[in-house]
Amino acid sequence: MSAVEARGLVKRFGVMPVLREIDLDVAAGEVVAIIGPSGSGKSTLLRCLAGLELLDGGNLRIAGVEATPRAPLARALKGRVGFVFQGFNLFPHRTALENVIEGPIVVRRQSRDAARARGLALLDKVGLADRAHAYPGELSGGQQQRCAIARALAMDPEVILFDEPTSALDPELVGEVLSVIRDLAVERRTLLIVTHQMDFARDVADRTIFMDDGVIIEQAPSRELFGAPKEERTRRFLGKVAATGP
Amino acid sequence: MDATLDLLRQSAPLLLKGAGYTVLLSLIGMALGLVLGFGLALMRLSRMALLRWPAGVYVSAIRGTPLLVQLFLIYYGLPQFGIELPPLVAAGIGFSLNIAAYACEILRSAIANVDRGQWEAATVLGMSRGQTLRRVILPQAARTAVAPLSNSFISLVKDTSLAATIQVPELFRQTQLITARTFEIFTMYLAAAALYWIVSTLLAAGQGWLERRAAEGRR
Repeated sequence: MSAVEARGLVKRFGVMPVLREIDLDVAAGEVVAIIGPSGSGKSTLLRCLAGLELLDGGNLRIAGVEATPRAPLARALKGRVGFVFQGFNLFPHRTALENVIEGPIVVRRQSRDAARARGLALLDKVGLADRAHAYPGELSGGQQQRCAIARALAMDPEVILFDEPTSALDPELVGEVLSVIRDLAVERRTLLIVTHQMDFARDVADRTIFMDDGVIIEQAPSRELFGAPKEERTRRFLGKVAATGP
Repeated sequence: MDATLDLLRQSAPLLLKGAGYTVLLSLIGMALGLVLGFGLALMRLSRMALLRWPAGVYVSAIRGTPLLVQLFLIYYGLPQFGIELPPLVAAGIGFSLNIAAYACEILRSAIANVDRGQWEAATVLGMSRGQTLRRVILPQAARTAVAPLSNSFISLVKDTSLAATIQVPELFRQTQLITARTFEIFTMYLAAAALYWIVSTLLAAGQGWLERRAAEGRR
């Protein structure tokens, strides 16, 4: 069963094409990493999948919901596609726990007690049990991102999209967030991760997609893509990344 | 000295009654103005030009004309069309309509300044536009809006003195009437100024309290 089925996705900003006819399939339980230079369209692809951007063309089916060009998809999904932002985007006027239970209570109409019990369990799962009543401003970046992951999990999403989840973090906080994502991969959740962490992509993702200039240049099982890239552009990108550091 | 104290003692009931009208007009103007201003702000933020455009014209017209002219239009102008309003009602309407334009701009910018990521985070949770506005955006916008709204309110308190020109027996009007009788002009206007100051100071203290409350929870 496919969690994501995309055919010929097109997205333009003004006249500038950002996505040019992207085809993408993700099976349920698959972990996919998307890598590529900045401006290659990988974040835009993720945002289109979540319905945060309207499509200019193509067909998309995600978490069992059909998207049509120029029609808002995000609200139809009702949280079935989780999204973890680079900048966390926690609600600053709500505690960690309140952030996690907001969706279940408001969108899923769960009782407060049930949502709280589940929310506390999820915060425990991401290692934040003792910070449940802290406000986002009182948490470190790593803690905020783990809270944001718990918030996404609370909606029982069929797919979780990660948009550079560690790019806004101090280096010493990256590991704690990656380890939470790794746990989700081990549970065989369906994950799509846009990342600059090449080691993480190679180790955790079943498949890695290399994008450049709005096109998928190459995709393969991660070890294959990192071990023996077929395309010249992939080789050049990986060479550059290796040369400049982690 | 004794004569002055006597005068103040005799005038006190009238002055306090006037101050009562001042507070009443301020509260009515602010309450109705806020409600109206919030509606206008939503119109200004709407995706529909048909809603955005009239609200923009309204705000521009109100902010671009003197409050005194607006009050005269309502109180002296409308009777030409058979609409005769009692002074207090005319003043209440005038101040509400006026404050609404300023409140609209304060609320609009406070809402627009909430980070786009907040809308997106609520959207991916499946929250509707209304739910997002109510539960995520407005609580954050309110914090930004409290200080400028309080400033508008304190300005309004002082602007209510303009109601004297349309026969509302508020503080300034009472003072005028007393001076016409007693000729103790300096003393009486000083007393009026003192009362305005006291009312504004109390309201400023209220503003401080509101701001501290609004700041709670975001550290």
